[in-house]
Amino acid sequence: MGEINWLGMDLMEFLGSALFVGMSVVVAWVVFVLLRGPAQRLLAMNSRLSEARAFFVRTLFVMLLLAAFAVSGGRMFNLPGDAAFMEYVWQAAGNLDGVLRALMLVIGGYAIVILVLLLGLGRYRDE
Amino acid sequence: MTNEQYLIVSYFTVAGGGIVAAMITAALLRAGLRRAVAAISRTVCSYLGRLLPAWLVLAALLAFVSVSYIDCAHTTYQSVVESEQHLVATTHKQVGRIFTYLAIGVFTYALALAVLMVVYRWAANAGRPGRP
Repeated sequence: MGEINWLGMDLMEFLGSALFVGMSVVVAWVVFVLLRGPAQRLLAMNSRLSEARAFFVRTLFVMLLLAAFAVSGGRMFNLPGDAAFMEYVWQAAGNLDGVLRALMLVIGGYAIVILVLLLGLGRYRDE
Repeated sequence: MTNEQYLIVSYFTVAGGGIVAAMITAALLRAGLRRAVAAISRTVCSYLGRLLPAWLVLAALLAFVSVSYIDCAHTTYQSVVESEQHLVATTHKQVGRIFTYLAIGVFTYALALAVLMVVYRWAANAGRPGRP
């Protein structure tokens, strides 16, 4: 029976995976920062949603982060032991397509939630 | 560590990690959730607040158990344990699926809450004719 280290990967594979997770989180964060303002403005269209605004904005952040972790945690680095450092970087960059696809799905799903709220509640101002 | 030890350790670590990830996700959403559902009703608020962690833990556990070590190329326990690559790949698949199901869980919860808010508002408007 074979031997395996506790990480299930060698140091370079671990560094490559860690780099990929880091890149995924940064991409998710950038997408969140870009979408946070418009999402808040959309939710502000109905003042009855003011109490719920924080929840729905936080939901967007959590979903983006989970989607980034889902792809980066599920991908492996299948490179030969003598692969160069840049090959790991390239593979991490190549794996980003899965992250971007997942983030796109999250944005689509979030748009559905906002759409349901605004279609159902409409535009409303208290003052 | 032998492959079998890796299998045992990774299996229970991923299961525990999934539950912790679900609880962290629920904790991140909890503060905003309390304010969001307070406008609906006190009973619903209490119910939804308790539902979120349970819902996310169930999603994480469902994701975890839905990944099998047995596949076409590895039909017996012995063949599973002999393949290092398969063990590591399956562990990654479990981690990925847990986060995927958690994201789906958060999405369905937010969608259900949005529908509930709309239904509650419509019901409130129906009870007070003439109000917007």
